[in-house]
Amino acid sequence: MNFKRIQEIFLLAFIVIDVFLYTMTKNGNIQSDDTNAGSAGNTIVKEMKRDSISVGTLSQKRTNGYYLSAEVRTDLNEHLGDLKNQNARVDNNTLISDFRHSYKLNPEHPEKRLNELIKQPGFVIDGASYHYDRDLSTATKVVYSQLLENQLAYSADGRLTFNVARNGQLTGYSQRELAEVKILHEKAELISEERAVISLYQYNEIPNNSKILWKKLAYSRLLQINGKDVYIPTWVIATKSNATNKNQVNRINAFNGAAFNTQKVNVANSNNDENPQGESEAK
Amino acid sequence: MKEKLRHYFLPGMVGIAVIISIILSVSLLTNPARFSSRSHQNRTTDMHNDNNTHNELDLYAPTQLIETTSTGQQNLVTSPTTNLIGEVLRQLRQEHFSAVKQISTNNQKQYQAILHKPNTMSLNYTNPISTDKVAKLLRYQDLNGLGQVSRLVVPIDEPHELYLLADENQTVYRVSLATKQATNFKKFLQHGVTKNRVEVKFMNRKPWLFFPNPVIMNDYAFMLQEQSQSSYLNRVIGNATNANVKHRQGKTTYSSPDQELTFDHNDNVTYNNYRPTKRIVRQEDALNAAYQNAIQLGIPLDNTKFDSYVAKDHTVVYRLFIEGFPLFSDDQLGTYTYRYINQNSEQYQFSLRDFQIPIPTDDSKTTLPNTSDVLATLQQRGLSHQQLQGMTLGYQVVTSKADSLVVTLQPTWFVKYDNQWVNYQVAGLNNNNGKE
Repeated sequence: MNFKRIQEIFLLAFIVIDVFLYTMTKNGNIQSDDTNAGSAGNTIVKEMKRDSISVGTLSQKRTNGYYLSAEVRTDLNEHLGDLKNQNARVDNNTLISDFRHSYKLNPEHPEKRLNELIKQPGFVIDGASYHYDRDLSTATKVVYSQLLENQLAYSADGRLTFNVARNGQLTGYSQRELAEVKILHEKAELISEERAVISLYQYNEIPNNSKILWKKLAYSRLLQINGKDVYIPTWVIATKSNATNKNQVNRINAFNGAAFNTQKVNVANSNNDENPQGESEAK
Repeated sequence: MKEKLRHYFLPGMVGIAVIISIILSVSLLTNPARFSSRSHQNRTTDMHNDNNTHNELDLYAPTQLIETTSTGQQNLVTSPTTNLIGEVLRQLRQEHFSAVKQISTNNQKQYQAILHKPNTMSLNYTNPISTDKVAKLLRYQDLNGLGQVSRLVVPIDEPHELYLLADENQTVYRVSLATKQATNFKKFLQHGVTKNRVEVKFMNRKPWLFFPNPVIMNDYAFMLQEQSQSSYLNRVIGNATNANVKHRQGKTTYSSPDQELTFDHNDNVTYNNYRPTKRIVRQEDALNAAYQNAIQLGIPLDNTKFDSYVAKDHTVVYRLFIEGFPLFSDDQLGTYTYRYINQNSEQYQFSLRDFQIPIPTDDSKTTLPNTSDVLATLQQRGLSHQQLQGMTLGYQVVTSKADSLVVTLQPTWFVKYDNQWVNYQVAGLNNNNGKE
């Protein structure tokens, strides 16, 4: 009888020990997740996930970029004669045109036909310097952004916007172009996509319970000086808050990961500032 | 039967509980997660080091690239869009080196032969540098402790060896490459580069770069960024309320028992540390200390290169370089100076302002006279070439009157005499101290 008591006490003690050890391993596993994740960056990405921010896959690849200078092209009206099948006019350096006979586009993939059309002479001026920008395009507007040093520009000054009617008919477009694009300084290494998203999160610009819709590397206007613009590579990140259902576009300086704001650094002769939020709508 | 089962039930349960506890204990002990916090810390420091190494490699890289073509013609190669030397070094770091050997010393003929070796490029420093730094640049430890060198001569086409040259005693080291990767540097030297004809000649027993033709250089302009005094105060002295503040002759000095930080009205900063952490004996000690302290002070080192070293007081100067040309300004702007005075004191001088954004300059260029015209002009002003310690193309920082944060960089010649770099336009003129 005494021996049985001892056995009972042993059983109880070991059950308590087992429960304790089990909870220890549980905690350990959570920690090990963090370690296996690999980098401090990943820890923050995990933290973002805990804040219900869905980030998708983030690349750690680093590329190079330049400081560029550019001017808004002012001689578009001299080339209106080259355009065929359209009524075009230039207003404040923006070319606005309506096609006399509209083109039929595939509503799912409007770029398929446009990529061909844009290369044809007489369709648009300098079409080859623009590239389809899926992220900025909507059902009624197909956006082509200008390429600066093989990278998209994120600026209303370097953009071709095609108007598409509900029935998929291409009716017209507006165009602004950047000219005199020059490299101001030797190329420098840029931060990765992951680093940019982390910076934005650390600046508190990504609300909890939200989703990153898209992110891309694009040239943005940093400042305007003596009638010329300075463009730098930026990470453009569009987020959507699940709570308010609002879209928001933010930019991060891709050289150093600082918050990007055009207005802050304007020094002289600045006018018609871009409004980063209002400039484009996210899809 | 039932009774028998009941009899074994309790010991069986105890046995199972013991086995479970053993399994759990073993799994806990062997789980790497136990060390998670420690390994995690290591990783973050590694990342930090990566960044720093990258900076340090850039900082202690040569500044000038001279190619010698197959016909023996020499050109200074620059590029406004690519860091040529950075690209060449990145490529060289992939190589494996097998041996290093001194092949000659105090032999001017051999030295000249290597300097003029066809189909090579010479990567030059503005000041001899410890081979310990070159060892880091090339990732080849055997170069440690060889002394100081001023040039790396690298064959352009599939190099099997490269040479380290020391101007001071005309010593040549040969470094053999173990792997025969088909590295070809030709493409670096062909696209988007500017080439200016040069001749490497010996003058005052030192190799000098002569430009037989006038030189065309790009103008630059920059927007500056000004850091606040308090950011440095916080980093250096910490809690500013403990600091003793003195205002004298337009200067403000904050001091704590072992540190002192002085700001003047031109944004120049002098920092004195009366408790140096390391004793400086050799050049590499000074180079390491200068770098570590620049990082600690939070001085931006983009586009900055090692420029000069004075052994007497272990002075290390870092300077801003554009396209491989040095920048000179009337104050600390664009330079960072470290000085180890003695065991009880070290000093740093730098500027609150740094170069931030390049801005357009209407594509303007400046044509500068060739070397012999400059020497003739200086001779007329009574400066003979024997008096000159150095001569270089560079940029003079010109501040704009309208906006103190916008500067233009004006290409010009600089000559060094009386241990000072002076713009050649004013060098030797009596009515000034050599500064614009």
